[in-house]
Amino acid sequence: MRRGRPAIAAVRFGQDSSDVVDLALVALAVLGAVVGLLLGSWAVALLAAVPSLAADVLRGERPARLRRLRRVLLDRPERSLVRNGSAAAAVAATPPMTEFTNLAFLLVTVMAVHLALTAYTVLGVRRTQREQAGMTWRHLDVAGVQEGPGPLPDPVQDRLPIDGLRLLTASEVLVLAGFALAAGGVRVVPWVLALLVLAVALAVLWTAWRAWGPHEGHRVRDSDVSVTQAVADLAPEVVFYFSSPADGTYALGVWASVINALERPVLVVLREAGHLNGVETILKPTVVAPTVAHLLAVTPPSVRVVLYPTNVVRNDEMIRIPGPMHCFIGHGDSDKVGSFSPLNRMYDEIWVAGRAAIDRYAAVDEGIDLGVLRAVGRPQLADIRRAEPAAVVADKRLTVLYAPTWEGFFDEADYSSVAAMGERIVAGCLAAGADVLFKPHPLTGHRLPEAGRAREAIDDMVRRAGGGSEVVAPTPNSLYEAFNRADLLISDISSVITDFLASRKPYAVSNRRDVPDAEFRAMFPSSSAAELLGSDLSTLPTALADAAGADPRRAQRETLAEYLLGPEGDPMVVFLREIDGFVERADARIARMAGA
Amino acid sequence: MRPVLRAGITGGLGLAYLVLLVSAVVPLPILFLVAAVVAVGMELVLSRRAPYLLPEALNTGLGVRFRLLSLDVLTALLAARLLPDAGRIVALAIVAVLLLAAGRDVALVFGRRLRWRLNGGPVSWRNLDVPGLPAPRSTPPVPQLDLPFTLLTLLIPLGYAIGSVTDKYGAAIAAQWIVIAVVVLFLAGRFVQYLVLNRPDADVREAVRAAIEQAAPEVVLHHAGRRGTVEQVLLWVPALLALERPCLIVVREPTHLDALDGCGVPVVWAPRSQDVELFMVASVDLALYPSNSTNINNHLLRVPGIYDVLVGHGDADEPESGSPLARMYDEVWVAGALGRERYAYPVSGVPAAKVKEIGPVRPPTPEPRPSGPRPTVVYAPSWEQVADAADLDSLLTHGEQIIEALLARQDVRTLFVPAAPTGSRVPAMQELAERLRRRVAAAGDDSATWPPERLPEALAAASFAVVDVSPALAEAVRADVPFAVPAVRGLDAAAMHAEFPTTQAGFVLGGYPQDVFAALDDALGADEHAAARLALGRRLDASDEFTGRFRAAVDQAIAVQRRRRAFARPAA
Repeated sequence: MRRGRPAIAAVRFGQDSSDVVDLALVALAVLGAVVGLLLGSWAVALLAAVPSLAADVLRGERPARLRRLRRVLLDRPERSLVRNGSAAAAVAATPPMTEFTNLAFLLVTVMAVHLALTAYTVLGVRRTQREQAGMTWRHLDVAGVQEGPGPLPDPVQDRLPIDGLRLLTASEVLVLAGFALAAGGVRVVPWVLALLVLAVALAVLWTAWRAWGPHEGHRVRDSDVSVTQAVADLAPEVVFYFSSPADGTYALGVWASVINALERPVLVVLREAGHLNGVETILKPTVVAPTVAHLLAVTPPSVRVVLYPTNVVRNDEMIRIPGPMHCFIGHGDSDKVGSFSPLNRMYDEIWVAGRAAIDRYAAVDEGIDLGVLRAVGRPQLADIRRAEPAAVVADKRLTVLYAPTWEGFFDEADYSSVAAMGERIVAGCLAAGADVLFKPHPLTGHRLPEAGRAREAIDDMVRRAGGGSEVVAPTPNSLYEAFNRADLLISDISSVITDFLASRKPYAVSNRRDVPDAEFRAMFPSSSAAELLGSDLSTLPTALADAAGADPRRAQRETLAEYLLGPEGDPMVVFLREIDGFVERADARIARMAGA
Repeated sequence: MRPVLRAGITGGLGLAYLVLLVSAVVPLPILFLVAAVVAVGMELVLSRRAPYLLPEALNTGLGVRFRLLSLDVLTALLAARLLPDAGRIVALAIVAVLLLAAGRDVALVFGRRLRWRLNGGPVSWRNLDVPGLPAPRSTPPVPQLDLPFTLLTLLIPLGYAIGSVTDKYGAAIAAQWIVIAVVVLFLAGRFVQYLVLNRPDADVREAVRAAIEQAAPEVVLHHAGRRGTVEQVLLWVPALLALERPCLIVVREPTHLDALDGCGVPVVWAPRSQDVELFMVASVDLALYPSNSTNINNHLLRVPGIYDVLVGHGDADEPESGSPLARMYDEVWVAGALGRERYAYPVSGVPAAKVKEIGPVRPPTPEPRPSGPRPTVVYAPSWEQVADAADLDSLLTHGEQIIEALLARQDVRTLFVPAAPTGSRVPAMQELAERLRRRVAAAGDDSATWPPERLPEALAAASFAVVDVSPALAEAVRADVPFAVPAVRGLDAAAMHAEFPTTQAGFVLGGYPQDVFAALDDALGADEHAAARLALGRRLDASDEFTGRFRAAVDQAIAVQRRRRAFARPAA
């Protein structure tokens, strides 16, 4: 295989995040040096350098938005340079007169630390490139280990409770102390400190060289080979393939119960390692395959069917692999554009909840063969309690669930009420004496900052309201638990309203562009049994009254629920039977191809 | 040669900075100035001419920004060592050098921003009149080091050098004040310029959208690909012009823009998926995709209300010309029966009804030129493609042997025609192509390297061609040139024939140079594959009458889409 240039991630190995906070701390150090020079006091200069050095040693994750203006930020070597340079200049030009050799030796030490840090990074990057350990796994027996492979082990950390890069950065503390002593007129000791720093740098480099260099102190990890073997041994027939933006992991989470219930050998393939933090509920073998080569390695010939919960560009890479059959299962059923995207033509089958979805495809006529559509129900809704007709007790305090969708990847897919109406909806419900459960879509604000701001404002409003009002946490089942607590749902065109119909409780849908009611309901059949909230919210009192008992649409919701949510019966059993059928169809196709 | 040069330059640079360190601490201001001049000179030349000559580590940990910053910091230290009793002057030095460093960074930021605006940012366009906006123009990349600012770095060291000679540091103080003034004035000027030139991104996008609406395109050609792949678009331009319908070309990388300037069809560059959505005005009925090897096609495919057709860019047995992914298009248009077989259901999953034969899209056949006394042979290798899995090129593995074999034959003239994107993914490919070009030129006579767009002309004059499994093979068949295909991936002739059926109508090269000689002798003599080539040509193209068929297919697709449209694209 040809090797290109190292990936950016590898080059940035061991480098910290340089952001505006770091820049401000360096500015403080420079300011200290200037003030120290004007006052003739070296102590001011050295003290001002301490916060910046401390931040570099104790570096941690800070929000990404602090990292704007990349070009004018200072990376760690540059920060150290400016910090130590200003300190040295201040020490040299303030009384008492500093001994030349002390200063020179300390400066050479600073440069030596830089070189050591660079060498350490280069060694680490080279090692990562030689390793074959790109695939992370969970719940899979890879040579006896159930999860791995973890980050590159640090040779310094084998012996000390600190990693090599941090130790090298921390050794600058001694340089700073050396400047202080030199400025104070102490002899010899600064020399000793500088020699100590050089010794630390050499020791760290030596350790790294022994561990990562040609001596093979640390074994070159090749877990990818074992993962490939473990997957081949597992011989999965069903693959759940998942790729999405970082905060979209929930779309796989909704399938956890189905994945765990599958008796056929199943493999979950993630394309981005970040999703591992959101799929703890999945207990079946899971592998992260970042590149196409990895993907090929974990797609053995045993794979019959691949199921896709999202409709993203990277699905193409799996579909290019010939052999298995591909099925789009989505992560919720709604009248959104994404639920009938022309792109879905690329799948062999498209599974939808109920007949409504099939009618939707038929109506838009985007060239999708209706024969590939199957109504399979919504196994995720097994735990939603169905409300009895007229079960509402008079004078009970109402609970309203406000669960809006996000603004979509492009304007045409934007059905969200958050930015335009969200704050007014919640304020209206609270004013009417209801408790509000607020469950924003996890991607809210991903594309439009104003949606993110509105979401924060609503969060505040709900938290301040107290009582039974609360912001629902984004845990896997929290939405369905909130369904069971709510008397009324207010939401947007999205899968939330479809799923909520399983409870048969009243719901209201936002219509922020004020499309005439009849036209809106025709365009979005899932809203046909709902109260519609126009941009002026004039119908909000009616919606609240429905929830309090005056409920004229109950029968309509019964009919609509079946139309949208698919076949009656235990939805989990129905779905698992569908997977069996799909595997049989895939087998039949393989037989046909072999015969052809 | 390269490693020695690299070591020498790295050593020289390292020595210059070491001298700077020593001469700042001692202090030796005149030596410092000399070392600074050397260091700045080397940095300027290297960053502009040969940044690749520096080792990787110097570009990651100790990059040019770090190095020049260290020059600045050492300048302040020099001041402190020279004037240990003048705290104010040293403080001024620190402020001046750090402002200068910031000024260098900001000059680059503004320079890039300005260039981006001139190029049309946040989008760009060609052959389209956008009212209220100046036509975008391509400007050269902004150099990493701003020349005036980098030279300004030398002013303060000069001041101290003068000071050390005259023993009066007025010049140094003046230099520091000048630097501060220049940086502050420059930043203020740039900021004002930015305010004047800046306009909201959304306004630019809306203006371009309005211009597109005005042009009301019905057919869109969507292209994404590496540098050089714009030839896939150019292939289709005459066909689009012949449609006599308003058309629009959407490219996803700005590198294609200049090649399409003046081609007669409006072109827009849409960097983000949202831009694609924005530019798809209501008049668009049909989208054509010349390549299937890029996932970015999805961005346009998912826009509802448009009929999507994969049209490709020439026929070949390449893996992508039969990918199951082709299902995501409404239809796949191929040249002839051979193309149809590649997509045959159920192996790839494109139903036969969705594959349409429209004949070959080709550049106009050139007039055959009177050739020299010797017959012409052509070597036209493919490029490395976007991934190793799809790579079928022979250049890297056998290119040298093939060229040497052809040049060794005194009885023929050799034309080397590498594909346009060669080297866009694998730099070694570009270096090799360059080396072979020099080799061919050194051979003298009338042998030559021709640019990729002259391939049809080369084939029209050729008596024999060595091609890869690529559109060039189909072109050789269409020009009725006897051809040979170098075996790749360790396959033998039988395996090549099985994997890539089009190779059956020519020789498969396994041994060098003897197989090249054998195939060439046959081409100049018996031509044993003549019948097979003719048969392949018949299956390759449904008909020579491309324009009419293409036009009819477009008309039909647009009619279907307009029927479908009743519901799609709800008014947002």
